Amino acid sequence: MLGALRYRRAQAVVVVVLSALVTACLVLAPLYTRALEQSSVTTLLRAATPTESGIRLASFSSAEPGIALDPDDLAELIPSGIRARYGTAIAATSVGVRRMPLGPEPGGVLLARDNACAHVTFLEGQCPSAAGEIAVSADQAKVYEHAIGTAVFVGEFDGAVSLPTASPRTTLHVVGIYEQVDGSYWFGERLTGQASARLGFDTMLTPLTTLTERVTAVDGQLTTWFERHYALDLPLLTDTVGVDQIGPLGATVADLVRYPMGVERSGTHVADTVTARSGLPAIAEQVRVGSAQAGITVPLLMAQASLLLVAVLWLVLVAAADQRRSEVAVARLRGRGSRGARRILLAETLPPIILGAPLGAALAAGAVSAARHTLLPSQPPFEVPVGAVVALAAALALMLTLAVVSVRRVCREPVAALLRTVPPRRGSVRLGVLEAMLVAAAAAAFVALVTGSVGGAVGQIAPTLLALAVGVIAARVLSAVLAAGGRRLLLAGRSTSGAALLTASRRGTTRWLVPVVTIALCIVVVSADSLAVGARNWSDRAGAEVGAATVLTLDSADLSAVAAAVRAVDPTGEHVTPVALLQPAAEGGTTTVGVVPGAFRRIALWPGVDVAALPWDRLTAPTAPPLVATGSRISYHVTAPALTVVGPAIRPAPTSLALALRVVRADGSVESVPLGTIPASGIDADQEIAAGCSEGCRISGIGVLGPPGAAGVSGTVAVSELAVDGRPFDLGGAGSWHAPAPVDPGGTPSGGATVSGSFAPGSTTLTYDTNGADKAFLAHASRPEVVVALTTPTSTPSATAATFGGSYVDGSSLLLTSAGGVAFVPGGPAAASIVNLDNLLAQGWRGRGSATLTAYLDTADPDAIGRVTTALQANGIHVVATRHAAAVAAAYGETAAAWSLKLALAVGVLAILVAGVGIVVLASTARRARSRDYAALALVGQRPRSLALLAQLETVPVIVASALLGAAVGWWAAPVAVSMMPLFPAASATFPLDLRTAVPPALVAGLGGLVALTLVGVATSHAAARRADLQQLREAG
Amino acid sequence: MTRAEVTRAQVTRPQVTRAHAITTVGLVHIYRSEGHDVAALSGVDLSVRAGEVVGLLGPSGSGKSTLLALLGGLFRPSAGKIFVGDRELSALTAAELDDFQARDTSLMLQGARRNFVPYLTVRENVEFAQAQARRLGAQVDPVERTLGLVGASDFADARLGRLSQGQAQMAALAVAMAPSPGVLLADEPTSALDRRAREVIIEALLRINAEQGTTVVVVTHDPEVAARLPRTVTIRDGRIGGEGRSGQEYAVVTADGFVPLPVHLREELPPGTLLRIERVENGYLLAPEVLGHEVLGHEVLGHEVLGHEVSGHESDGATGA
Repeated sequence: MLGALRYRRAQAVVVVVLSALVTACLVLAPLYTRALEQSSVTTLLRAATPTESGIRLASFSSAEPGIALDPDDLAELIPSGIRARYGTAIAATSVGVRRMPLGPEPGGVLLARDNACAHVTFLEGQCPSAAGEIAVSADQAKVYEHAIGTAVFVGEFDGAVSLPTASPRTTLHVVGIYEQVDGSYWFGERLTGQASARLGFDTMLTPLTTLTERVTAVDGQLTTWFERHYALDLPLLTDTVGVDQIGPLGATVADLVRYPMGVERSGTHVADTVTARSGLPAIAEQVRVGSAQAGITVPLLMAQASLLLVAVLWLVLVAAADQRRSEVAVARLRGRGSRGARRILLAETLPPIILGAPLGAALAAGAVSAARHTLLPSQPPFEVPVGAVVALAAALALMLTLAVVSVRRVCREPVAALLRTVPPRRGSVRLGVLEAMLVAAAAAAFVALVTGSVGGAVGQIAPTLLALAVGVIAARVLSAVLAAGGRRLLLAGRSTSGAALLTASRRGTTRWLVPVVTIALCIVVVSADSLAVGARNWSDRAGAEVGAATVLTLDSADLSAVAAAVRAVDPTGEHVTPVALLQPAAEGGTTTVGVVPGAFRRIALWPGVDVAALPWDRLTAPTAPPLVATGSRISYHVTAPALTVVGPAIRPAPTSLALALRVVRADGSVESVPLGTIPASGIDADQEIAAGCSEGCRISGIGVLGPPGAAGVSGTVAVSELAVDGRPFDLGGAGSWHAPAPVDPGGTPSGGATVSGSFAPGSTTLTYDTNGADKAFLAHASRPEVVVALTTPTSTPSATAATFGGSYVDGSSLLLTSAGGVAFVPGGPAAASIVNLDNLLAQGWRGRGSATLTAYLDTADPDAIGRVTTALQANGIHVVATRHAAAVAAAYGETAAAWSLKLALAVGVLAILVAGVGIVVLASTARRARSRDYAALALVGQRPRSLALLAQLETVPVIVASALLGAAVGWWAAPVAVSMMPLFPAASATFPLDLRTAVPPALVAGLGGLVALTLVGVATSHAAARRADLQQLREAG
Repeated sequence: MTRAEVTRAQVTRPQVTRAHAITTVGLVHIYRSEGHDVAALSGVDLSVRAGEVVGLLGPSGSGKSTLLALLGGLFRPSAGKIFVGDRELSALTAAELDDFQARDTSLMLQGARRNFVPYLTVRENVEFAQAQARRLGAQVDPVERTLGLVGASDFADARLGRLSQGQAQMAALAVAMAPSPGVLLADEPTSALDRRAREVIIEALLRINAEQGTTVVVVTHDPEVAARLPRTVTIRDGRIGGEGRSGQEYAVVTADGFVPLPVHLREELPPGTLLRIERVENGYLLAPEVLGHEVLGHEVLGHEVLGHEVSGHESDGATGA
């Protein structure tokens, strides 16, 4: 046996290598999938915020505050089976308070949280330790002048406090000024952000005793805080959770989230006070989906490589058996029989196969180990799943079967046949039965996959199946074509090329060479295309979802301030632009996305969208500048005739109307300011009111207010000598005001009230008809009536109507109308409408409802980002989150789907290597016959150069033609395969996949494969031609 | 060993236990080539005594190698029967044929190196060749004796690639003799050898026959080799075309009564020639029909040659009527 192996050393090495590769491919799939799953778990858990990975239990009841569960009770709700997966629980108790006296004063939260002081930095003072001591944020200290030592008198403010006099109250003393330290401890909770926008106090840190000791009611009685909010945060110990644990853990946590107190107590009042939140079930689901994707993609990718490898191994084994025909003949002659001959052959082929299997397993382990350290993040542990052992056994069984079958034919041949030289097959277009069955099966499978009869990730093998069918047929067709071409060339007197083509058509190796090369090139092109398409989609989707190269989320609720600050940073909007995302008030509505059209178009990322074709010019700003009145008093002369009742007689006629202005105050809030009464009998008088516009008010409308439910009235009212603090105030000309509209500009149906104005210098006359409504205003042109928007396809259905609802920053409604569609809004949700940001600055630009104010940057350069951040901070605007499109794209590249797909690169390279080995094997199979043929030609006077040319022409055109065919099949079928590959863990609600063929990578890969295999063909042909000496003829005898 | 020594050896040879006689009856072998049926053998009746040395002669394509292959059990004949010893080869099952080839008959292929397992030494090849016979319980000579018998002891442990052509041929002979077969079938054992090597091989063959009593059938187209063999059978056009005994050529009457003409008479007696055969006092008269005034052939030739030879060896050689 050893002698035999030594005798055919190269062949034994090839079998060992192929056996190792086949085993490696099959074993690698479960090993890699397992590593990938572990990596996926680790990556997802590390990327998750503590809120997502951990559990937050909370308990609060405004109706029955006393039954809320405190942290100790909440801790009892954690199922004992999962407790070990979580770290030390963090208990928190908080109470909402307002500065006394109760009223429109700023409020905030008093928070007592375990060990909170260790997770803030004290800029001044110290950690509050006694009851009544607090630490406030730096912003609060600055904006509300809460320096160290300040006493802050606060009371509990809540809807449940029915009697303000009974409201608990206490005086707190500021002992520290803190700055929050980011970290997992806070479970994503931001303590600051209110004070900087002057929307209220930031969270005030205090010891628990402040919240548990009795405080004083206004009547002097001791009482307790009414509505304590309890929370218990459990950080997940991510290191204790692997792929085997996360599924059951996710299910248990999902049950906890659904029924915090268990199903049996789910209907109780106490249970109603408890909520549990955790993103772990979603993470577990992502892991499950990723595992499912990888569980199909990885084995299928490796199966394709294995298919090619098995085909080449089969070639080698058949060639090895054929080369031993004479030995089989000798064995048979000496009475060994078929069985004995088979044993002799198998004694030579089985050991390399058996040796290759553990080597392959080791190779797979090494490859996975390398992937763990390079490709897969977080270095997942190396594990050997049962599937790997099964795969090893299956690989061994498969290869041993192949070996046994490969010698079967030779061993069964009659001895006389074994002693003959095998005649070359004759070129024929007809397929053999086995080939026809193979083609039919492959074609049927391909059609089933393409038509969707069989779907999913299995479709990845569609191109390989097609290439198999095409390759087998092409082998026959090519032989016939070569034969015809060869004969024609011979007739034309071109003997060398003619003979070469004829010989190629008759070689049995052509039958194998064509499908092997076709499949290999197909795999290469599809692999390159899928990788490139995957990378493109990861990048594009990241761009579409993030919105720009860098998006800074700002801790500000003031769009006006943000817009001004960003404009100050980049006046031309060339690199930075503000973007406001305003969530709809109602579920299912559209998110209003306020942008500076020119800058947004330029800076935002628009993968796959023809941005220039969008109607940007329709996104107009308000047509007039704001009409700002600054002062405390407004005086004017008003003249109005008696009112004319026009409404139905059943409604009472109003006794008076009020002339009013609609003003937008400095904080963006909108208010109707009555200027004076217009009696039903008419008026002609000077009037003066307190306007409260010392900080400036934008006049956004002028009209009349009537009593609700009164009959409609019509009339005119003339206002002249309008002055603010004695200074004349011009309301402008007709162009500064909107034309009369049957609806109220505020979006509230006006019941058909109309107002028109007649504007003359120093005098304005309104003609109105309330039509039964309680207000009728003429809107100023600086305040948009209906804002033009670009809407996404999944935007609210009402977006197709004439008008639909959008939002201002403060949550008030804004009428929108669609000017066109856009596939998606970069950085926005699926249902979104892009509007000109200037429209959102007309009113309600401040608020902390559902608005997210951001700055889009066209760069990820840290220096540039740093400059913008610093400049914004100088304006009191903090960056609370930074997202980079590149980072998100990289994150998409670190999902189970992506890691699976990246195997395509290895498979592509492997396919070329295997095909190269296949060419060498086929060449060595035919080497003896070829060399003998060439020697015979040399004997009759063919020169070495002609022989070399003949050798090349015999092989290279077949390789080139097969490679081109395989590349063409890959090119054509790649979109089919890619469309069935999971590129992402979950589909995007906004980003449409772009599955167009990645032309340059596919071309480069195809050309690379073609060149590589052609070079192998050239080298083997050269070697065959070099052996064309007379010794070959002698050997034949 | 001279011819006289060989003759003496034949006389004093040891008891032959496994030497087999060979008999073929109406042997026909047809094979298909390029879509046509080709008759390689068209009714061969041959008888070889146990322990006899016979050379099969004939031009290329005459069917001599086919006949040898049939005797070795490589083919099943299209028609006719082959008896080796008391067994009819056609009646053997595949397993019985394997045993037969392992133990009773040994075919030495043309081209010495085709007889070897290429990665084994000469000795290992001999061991390989006799292993199955040993397994079957056959009494086989020790390897050393076999190597000594053919004169291959000196290079018994050499790699095959280092053997000269002559040594390789001797090694092939040793391999063929490894199972101590009753019948040795050698196909062109001296082809591509120089005179000296050829002589060594012939001597070895004769020595095998002399010392082992093995029935030896040698296919050769070499007249010098043929001249050294006590009996030759010439195959021509798939039939037995003649036989030589001690250098004398004879025509052989086939089972169906045909007598092929010697080659040198074929031009003189072209197809269609009418011959008259008459018994005469000392033998038989072969007389062509006279066409016009010319006489084709002459009585003396037919009378003297055919008559004498046929009458002298009636019971030997071919299984004639």
